[in-house]
Amino acid sequence: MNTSEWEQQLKALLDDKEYVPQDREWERMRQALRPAAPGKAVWYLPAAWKAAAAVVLLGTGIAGYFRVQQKEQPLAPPVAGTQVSPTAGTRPEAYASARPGTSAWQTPVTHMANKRKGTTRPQPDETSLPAPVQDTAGTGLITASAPVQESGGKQEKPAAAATQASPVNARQLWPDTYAPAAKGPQKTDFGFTAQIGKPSQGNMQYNVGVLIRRELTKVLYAEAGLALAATQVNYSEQVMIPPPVDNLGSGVGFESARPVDAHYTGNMFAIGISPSIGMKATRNFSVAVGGDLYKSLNRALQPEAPAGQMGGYTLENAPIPSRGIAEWDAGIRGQIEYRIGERLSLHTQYRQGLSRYILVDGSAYRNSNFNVGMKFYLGR
Amino acid sequence: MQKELYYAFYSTLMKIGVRYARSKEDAEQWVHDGFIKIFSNLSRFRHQGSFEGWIKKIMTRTCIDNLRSRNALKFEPDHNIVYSNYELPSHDNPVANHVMQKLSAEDALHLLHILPEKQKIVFNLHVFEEYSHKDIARMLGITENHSYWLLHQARKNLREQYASLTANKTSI
Repeated sequence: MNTSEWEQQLKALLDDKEYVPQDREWERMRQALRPAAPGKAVWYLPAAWKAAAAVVLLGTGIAGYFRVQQKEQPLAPPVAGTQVSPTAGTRPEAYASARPGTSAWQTPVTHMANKRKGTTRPQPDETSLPAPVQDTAGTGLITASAPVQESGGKQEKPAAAATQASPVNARQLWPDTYAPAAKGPQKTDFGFTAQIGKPSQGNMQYNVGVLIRRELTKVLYAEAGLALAATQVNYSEQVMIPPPVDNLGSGVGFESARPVDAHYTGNMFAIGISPSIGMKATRNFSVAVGGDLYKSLNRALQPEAPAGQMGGYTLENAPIPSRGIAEWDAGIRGQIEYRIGERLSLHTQYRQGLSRYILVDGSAYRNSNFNVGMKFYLGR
Repeated sequence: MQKELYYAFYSTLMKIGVRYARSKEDAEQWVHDGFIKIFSNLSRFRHQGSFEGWIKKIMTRTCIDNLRSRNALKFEPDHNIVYSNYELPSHDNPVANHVMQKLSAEDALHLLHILPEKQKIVFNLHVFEEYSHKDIARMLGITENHSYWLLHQARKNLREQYASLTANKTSI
């Protein structure tokens, strides 16, 4: 047997030996192929869900508040022959007795408002209004008679109408006088917003949208926006690329894996909602906090690498891992706004991303940014 | 899919790993590393050659990389380098067939691992993986002449070790 035959026999001897993988080996491989650490996954998932839940809760709260307000606003006109409670019914008279010459139907609020504005609000003719009547029947109720009809110069006696009265809310009797006025204006404004900023995972971010703003009280307001954001993502990482593997068996290149500075870029578009609650600190300054949730319209990032580091690869066939951004991006934000005109305001905001933005196994790259922008309100 | 691939080619990769690694544990780890490279580059297989050949190349490269990372190839002294000596003639010191048949796979592996690291690698690459000296030289960063010489030394050492091993077996 010559050397070649001996080597062939040695080769055959080793080739005939079979190795059976153990299940634990495959399990280890399976874990390696899915490297998402359970601890981190648990951390990421609730963060996204918490942010989403906060946004939903905030939106539900705002919507519920508006709903309640809308239900309270439509008020019925005074009903003929209605009956009111003593406490409510005595208030106009008490005011009238304290301020002689003042109509019981003109409250201090409206009176002072009319005086301050110099406006002459049409006041109801006292003779044509139903006069509150003392409890004559001993029922403990004050009655309000129906509007008096002039019929031959003879007025219908209020006492006669008392028997036809029905219980109503005092607010229905005097809607513009004794209705709770402490909550201030309930004004809704629509407008546009535009922002430009610097994201933590990119170069620039542009954001345009529409917004709706509702004054809750004299100092509080709620705002919600629908925005389109364009973010120039620029992300870098060092990856190890193995030497080129030749399919044809020519044995090309057997160097060790080499580090390559891989850059990933992309102009990523997203559409999202951004509810917030704000407070007016002064007449022109206000601060707001809220959340936002964006849905990515495109997700894949384009890899780039210096040509000098590519070895035998081209960019197309280099084994650089693909990277992308998450489908959903949730965050919280704080905003300072300065009103420079009746319709125009400037603002600056910081957004802290809560969910993973760039998808890299084992690392959390969140999308936080600092923006400046302006808002233009319509119809003010 | 990955599981089927793993079970189907585990033995193929393990056969390569045990020839380079000093221990079975090392071989299993290198097979693990090799499969990770295979799975991560699976989409880059261009279907222009044998899939088995492709994964064998990846496994071989993984073994070399692991050996290099341990500096196993760096500090090994090469004594008596004589570049004028090339491969042995094929009829040099023939081995009796009946003696060869008495060897087991473990014996063959034992013989291989007796060799110094560089000689073992060159012998493996040339005899088992059938690489040319030019490719071996590029892979290991050595000259072709050095590759020839290492193969020669490996064969010489194997003969000596094999002779002593078979002498023991025949005496038994």
